[in-house]
Amino acid sequence: MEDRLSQLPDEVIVSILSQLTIREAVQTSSLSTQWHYLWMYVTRLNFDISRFITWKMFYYPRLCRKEGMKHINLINNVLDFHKGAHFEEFTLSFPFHKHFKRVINKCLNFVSSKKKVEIFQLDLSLSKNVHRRYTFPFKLISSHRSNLSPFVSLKVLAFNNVDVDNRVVNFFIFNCPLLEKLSIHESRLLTHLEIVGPLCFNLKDLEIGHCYDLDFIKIHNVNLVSFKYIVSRLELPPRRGYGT
Amino acid sequence: MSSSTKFLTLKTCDDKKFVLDEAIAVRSQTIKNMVEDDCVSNVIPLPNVDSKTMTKVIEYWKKHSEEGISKDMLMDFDKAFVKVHHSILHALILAANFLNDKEMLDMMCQEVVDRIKGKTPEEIRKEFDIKNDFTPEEEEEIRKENAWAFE
Repeated sequence: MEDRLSQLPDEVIVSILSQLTIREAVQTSSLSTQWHYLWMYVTRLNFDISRFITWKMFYYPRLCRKEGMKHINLINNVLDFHKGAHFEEFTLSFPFHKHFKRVINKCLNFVSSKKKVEIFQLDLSLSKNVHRRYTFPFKLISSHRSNLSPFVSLKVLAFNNVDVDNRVVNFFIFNCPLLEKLSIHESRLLTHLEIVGPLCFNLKDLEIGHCYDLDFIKIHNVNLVSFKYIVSRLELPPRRGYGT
Repeated sequence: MSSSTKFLTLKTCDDKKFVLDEAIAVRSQTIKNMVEDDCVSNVIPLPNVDSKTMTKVIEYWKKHSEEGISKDMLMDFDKAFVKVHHSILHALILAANFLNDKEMLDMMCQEVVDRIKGKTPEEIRKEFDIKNDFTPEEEEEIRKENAWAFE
C-alpha cells in the first residue's frame, strides 16, 4: 500500500485537519515532515474548556483560575504557531478571571489580524463573575478600516457574558452584510439596539438574553426568521429604575 | 422525460465516455461553469478522473438527484458509499475536488476524519501507511514544541 493520504492537495488535508480537535490536529505534526506544518493552517479553532469546569469551579474563582491556567499554555502555543489567514470558525469558551484577560485579549488581537472570519463566538460564562467582567475592546474593531476588518465576513456572531457596548454592536450591525445569526447574552453595557433594514439583510436569527440594561430595541424592515428575547425573573438583578 | 432535457458527454482520462443529463452533471461546479460560459462543445474532457472513479461519482450524483427519495434512504446510501478502501476514497476525494462538488467532497473528507479520530500518531501512520521521515531527534523536538498535545 502507498501513502495516499499525504498525496492529497494541501488544502484538502487542511480541511480534514480542521474537523479534528486542536489536540488531534497538532498531533499530526509528528507524522512526517510533510505534516509538520499543515495543522498550522486549520480554519477552525475551538477553544472550549466547558467540559473541564465543574459546578464547584463555577462558583469559586480560585478553583476556576487554577483550571483555566492549565489551558492557557495550549492556547498561547496554538496562537503562536498558527499561520492561516482565513477562519471558518473561532470560538473561545472560557471562564473569566482577571488573570485571563491577557489571553482573551491575545485571542481577539489574533483574530483581528486575520483576513476573514465567518463564525466568531466569545463565551466567558464558565464562571460566576458578578464583579469582574470582560469588556470587549472597541479599539480592536475601530482601528481597522472597516472594509479590511476580518469581521466583515461574519455569518455567526455570539457573545456570552461579555460586556459589549452599543458602539461595538453597532459596528457589527453596520459592517457585516453577511451576518445570519447574532446572539448577545449578559452584556451589561448594551442599552440601545437598533437594527433597521437594509442593514443586516441576511440576519435570520437574533437572540438577546439577560441584557438587563437594554432600554431600547428597534427592529424594522429586516428578514428575521427567529427572534428570542430572554429574561429570567430569578436572575433579575436590582436595577436603577425602569424607564417609563 | 421532457423534451428540454440536455445531455452532456464526459470523457475521462482513460478515454471512456459517459453520457449524462446536464441537470445532474451540473452538481459539479466545474462542469456548471463550463456550461454557463458556453465552453462546452461536444465532449467535456475530465483529465484528472478515471472511468472507475467517474462511475462511482455518477452513481452518487444520480442517487442524490432521485425525486422523492427520503432523507433516511440517502443517509444509508451515503454511509455505504464511503465504506471503501483508502485508495478508492482517495480517488473520490481528488475527483470531487477537481469537479468542485463541495457536498461530496465534505462527505468524503468527513470519512477520512472518522478514520483518523481517536488514533495516536503511530496508529495513523500505520492505518494510512505514512512513512515517518523524521530523525528521532527531530521527532522529539516536534513533540516538545507542542508538548501539551502529546501528554
